[in-house]
Amino acid sequence: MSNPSEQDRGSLALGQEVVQKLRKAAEIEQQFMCMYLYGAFSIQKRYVNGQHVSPNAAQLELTRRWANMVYSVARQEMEHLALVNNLLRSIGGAPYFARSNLIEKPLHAFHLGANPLRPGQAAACPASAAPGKTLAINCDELVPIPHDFVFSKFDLEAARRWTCMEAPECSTLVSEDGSHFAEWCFRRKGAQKAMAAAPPPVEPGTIEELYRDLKGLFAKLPVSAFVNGASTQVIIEQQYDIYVFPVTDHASANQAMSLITEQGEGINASPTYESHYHRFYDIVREWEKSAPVPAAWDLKQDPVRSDIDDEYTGRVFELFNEAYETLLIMLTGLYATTNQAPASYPYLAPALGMEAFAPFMTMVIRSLAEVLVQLRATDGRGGKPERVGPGFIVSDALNFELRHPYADGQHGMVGQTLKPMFADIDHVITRVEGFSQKLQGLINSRPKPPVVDPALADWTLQRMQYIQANSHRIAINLRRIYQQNVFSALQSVGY
Amino acid sequence: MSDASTQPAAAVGKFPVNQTARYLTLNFGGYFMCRLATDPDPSDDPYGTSGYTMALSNEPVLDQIIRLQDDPVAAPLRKNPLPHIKVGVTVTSVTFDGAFDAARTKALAGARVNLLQNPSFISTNNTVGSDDTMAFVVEPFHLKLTHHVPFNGQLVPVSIEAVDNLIPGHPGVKAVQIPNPAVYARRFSTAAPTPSPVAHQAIGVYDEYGYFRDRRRWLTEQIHKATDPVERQGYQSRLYQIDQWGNRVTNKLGFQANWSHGTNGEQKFDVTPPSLSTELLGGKVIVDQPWTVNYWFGAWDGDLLIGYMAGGLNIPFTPNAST
Repeated sequence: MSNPSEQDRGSLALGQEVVQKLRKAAEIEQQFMCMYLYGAFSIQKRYVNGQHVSPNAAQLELTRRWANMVYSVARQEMEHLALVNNLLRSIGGAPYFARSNLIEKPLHAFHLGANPLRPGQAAACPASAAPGKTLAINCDELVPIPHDFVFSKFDLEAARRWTCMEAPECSTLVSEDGSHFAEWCFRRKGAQKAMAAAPPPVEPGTIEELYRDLKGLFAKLPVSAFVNGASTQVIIEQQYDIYVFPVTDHASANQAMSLITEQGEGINASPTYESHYHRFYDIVREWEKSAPVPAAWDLKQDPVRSDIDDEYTGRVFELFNEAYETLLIMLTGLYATTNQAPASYPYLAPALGMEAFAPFMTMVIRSLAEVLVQLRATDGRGGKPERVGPGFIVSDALNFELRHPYADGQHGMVGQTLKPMFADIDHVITRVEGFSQKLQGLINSRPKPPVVDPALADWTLQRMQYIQANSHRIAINLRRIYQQNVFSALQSVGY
Repeated sequence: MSDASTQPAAAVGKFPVNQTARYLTLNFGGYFMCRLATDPDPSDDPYGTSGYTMALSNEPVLDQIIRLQDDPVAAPLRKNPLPHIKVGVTVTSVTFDGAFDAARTKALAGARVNLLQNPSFISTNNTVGSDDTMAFVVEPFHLKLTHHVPFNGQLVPVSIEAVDNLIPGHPGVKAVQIPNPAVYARRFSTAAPTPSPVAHQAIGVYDEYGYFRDRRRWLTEQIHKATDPVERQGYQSRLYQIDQWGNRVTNKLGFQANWSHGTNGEQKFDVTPPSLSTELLGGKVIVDQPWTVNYWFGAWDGDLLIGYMAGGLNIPFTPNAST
């Protein structure tokens, strides 16, 4: 039997390994969320008589349903990110909302090694073959195709890529429901030479493997590892396909991870369950059956500020990043707050919690992104796309703080010191109000924004004014809720 | 800003004890339409993407406007299997001092009830109210009733208007501009427990699930019958939303949000000619004392973007001696 000090060292090492893997999981969930949102923002919402070919009215209805699915999946990635943070908090880890920018291409770090394809499994796969035929799948003969995280417009290629990134391992696909096997996610082994030498970032099975590993590690943790109870965690009651519950023990941790892989890859779900993998698979199939659908505006892939020639559009791009950074600060502060339901002043968690999700995500982040994709970024010469979407770019300085939100390397146990930028409500209010004032300055700088389609100039300006008014009000609400919890009365009314 | 400044009643020390306490109540009801965006779409979303409501691609955009009267151009009613449904809120009965008033009901029944200045249900994703608890402000609030009252063989035009401002004397101020929600809390709705029997009774639907099962069946039939691809895709989107959102759509049929507040702005009772003002309803409508209004919106069919609205406008009233 090991002596106590060895046991302690072993538990500590195990705990650190779990925390490191959860931090990877948090970042990967946030990358998924941003990637899907970028695609969703690109989807054309309305027929307009602009310079580009737009979908006709029938195609718009089809693409609306696809947009609904993509937004829904993005929301569930937010849910996964929230659950991973509750998992982190439950074992005394710091919340983790850092995210590497895509332009840095850091994501190979997510690769977890060779994807295990269990030998000897095969299945008939009618949906992946030509009508009337079946395709025998033998996982021994297949290797998964790796995919990078890419911020790109929504098109058939993106839908296929997303399908593969959400796909479980070949063996799981075969054993659970071969009819949804996506043949474009795997290659015959002979094609392996074409793969990059570097480890691939995300491939079918990656997420399944990540959470399977995590489940195994959690199972080894002692009961005493769950040091932060429900009152320290963020709870979101079921709404809009999102349900975030506290993690307090092995059973709740296991359920949180099962929820993530069931929603994402469809692991252990019923055959009709609409996992992310199945939804994207269905979109691809529907798309392949339809006439060519120009569903999205042509947005620059993985945009950065230097891709944008127009100064006004560049400012909106920067303001979006500023707002996104503010959101990450708010979320870190919220998840780090150990008393989620204070009975008296100060009401930090209620203030951040009631403003960060709706309205800040909906009325500022998404709304501004929908403005940005209407603005002219370039003149379109040389085949450059005229439009960009939001870069979701986080500065190096902030990423460092997000990775180390506690003073002196602490990890977030009750009583430890959160850095002021996350704990000081004035810092958050100043950022939100600063955003609002900068947006007002931009609105005042010219009578009409530089839209690609003149028919949308008035709408775009009105939307910017709407965002400005609401962001100003959010800053006021943050102060008032922090001081008096004034909106709590509304939360307790009736419905 | 003081909370007391929002009170519509007269100032302290000047309470009007010699005024009548008796109300003439004009009760109204009927279907309304609101082409509104729903969470988690931004609350000004013109198309509807991630919420359960949407403007179909061959329809006008979502404009968030509460319409108490039919507007086939700006807000056409979608095809549906319920031919009895007609958008339009009208006066249904009149009471005086709480008792049914047959004569005045005969005079005013059928009067058109409208909310002017393009009002909306305001919460803006929990910014000024609470979407979670259905605490909304109807903004702006400008109620108008119009009718032609039969009188001595003629039809006499009558117009009744009542305005309430979030802050008395400041008609242009919006909720988003008022930092403290307590200032306009009197204008928030409170949700009745669901399902509301009142809402069910108003539309004659008690089996919410059966109602939407029938709708699904009807939409499926239309998808198969439709020859126009735009129409067919529209039916498919409607079916998709009902299936996708399930209970969130279904249980709104039993939803009821209640409002009750005074009217601190302009109160008008106009009769043409004015000389008939006291004769027409057999008494004096008092416009310089506070009126009150209570109303509810609910029984919401998120597929057709319609619901039921009912309420009553309470007007201080002194009957003529002979009536």
